[in-house]
Amino acid sequence: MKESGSRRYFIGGAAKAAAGIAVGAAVINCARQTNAAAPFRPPGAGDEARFMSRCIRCGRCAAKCPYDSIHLLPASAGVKAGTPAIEFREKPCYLCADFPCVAACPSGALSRDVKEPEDVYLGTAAIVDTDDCLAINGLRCEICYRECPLIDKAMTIDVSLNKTTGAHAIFRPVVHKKHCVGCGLCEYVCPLDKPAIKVLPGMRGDSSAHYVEPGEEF
Amino acid sequence: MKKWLLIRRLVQLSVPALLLAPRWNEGVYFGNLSSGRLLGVEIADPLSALELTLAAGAPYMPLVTAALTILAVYTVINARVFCSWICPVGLMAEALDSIRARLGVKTVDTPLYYKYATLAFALGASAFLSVPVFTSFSPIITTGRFFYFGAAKGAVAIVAAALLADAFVARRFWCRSICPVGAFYAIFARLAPMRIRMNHGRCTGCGKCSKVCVAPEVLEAPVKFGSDVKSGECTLCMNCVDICPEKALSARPFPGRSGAAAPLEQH
Repeated sequence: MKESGSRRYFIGGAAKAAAGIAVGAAVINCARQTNAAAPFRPPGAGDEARFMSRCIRCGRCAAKCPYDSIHLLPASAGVKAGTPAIEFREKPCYLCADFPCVAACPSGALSRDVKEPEDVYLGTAAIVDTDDCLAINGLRCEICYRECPLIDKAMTIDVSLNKTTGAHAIFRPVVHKKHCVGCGLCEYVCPLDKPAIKVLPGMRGDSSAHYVEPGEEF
Repeated sequence: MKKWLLIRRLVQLSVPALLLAPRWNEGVYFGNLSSGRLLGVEIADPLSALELTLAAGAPYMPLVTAALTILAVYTVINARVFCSWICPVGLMAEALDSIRARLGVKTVDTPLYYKYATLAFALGASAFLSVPVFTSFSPIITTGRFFYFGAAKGAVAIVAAALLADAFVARRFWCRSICPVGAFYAIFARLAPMRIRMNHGRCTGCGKCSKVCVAPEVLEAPVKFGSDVKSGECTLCMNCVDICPEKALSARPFPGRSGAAAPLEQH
């Protein structure tokens, strides 16, 4: 062992302390990007900042997902490495009756308040491509509507006359964001190469400041 | 005869086995090294639980209970046993160090107390950023995840980065000077009853114990003055007990009849 007074020991130590500070700064810089491009999380995660303060990267939710919908983010995700995420186009959330992911979470990152599919909120589906949506173009597609686990609540069909032919109907799928939980099944089953319907984050807003529903009071 | 080394290797290798167990049977073990369920009992890494408490601004009681369960078990023995008996990164570091020693790569010993700075940083950053920061970058948790989910992209890089300096710069750099988990457990190890005790009457001062010790600093006082190993830096790896030709060292929960008070006439 070296004497603590030795010069080489001191210089070596100082170099390592500097390296340590550099690594620390990199970690902080990495961690500060917490809210940038939040991925979709499993049920019960809630707001990204709340979720990120509670997830301890154990992966038990992903291990318990019967559909392998939940994957863990790679090391390149920086401070989000090892946290669970759902990529709807790969595998959506099937809203299991018993929410095994929530039950498996040991740290409260996935809130136990989620008991019914209606309690889930991952995002809101929206038809992002009305030009290519087959149903809107007059074809009998409506796959997203048929597959929606909250059919006739989160999604309905709006029937109108097909003006192109003047003789046929257009069965246009409509998302109702009050009820849509963002499970992503619609995005998953859309037969287009680039889905015409996608789940978007944080769309559950409140229009009451601008609009009062007929029958409601001011 | 390296009796303890054999037992320790079996325990160390049982950890990967436990982490793989849920692939066949979730009743034995299910989880990772940050949180898991062992034979129906929820356990959790106390440092992760503390980081979460700071990040979330409030404790999550099921996790705190799980963390206190494991901390209670460790404290009854000696919390630092995690490092030499459980931690898979410790096992890898030991393997790497034996290769390094065989290749004759010269390294230095960096101060043990650096890792308290890492611990303070991990806790401070967790509170400041509202994220349990070390859980993201922990090579231990990353290694734990590997056994269930396979190698995630970049996971090897995290573990390799932790052990890089070990091979070329400083001996067992990660374990001795960086790891906040070791620092955290070292604090609790000070309260532990189980320690390496010195029978100074038998010690010939040959120095073999210091050569096999990951933190030979802890053996200075026992060899010189015949005291017991009091430092939280001792991981109870038992290498010194195995190597001592005079059987002067042993791990006991209480000071032995021939502890610090042993006569010095053989010197």
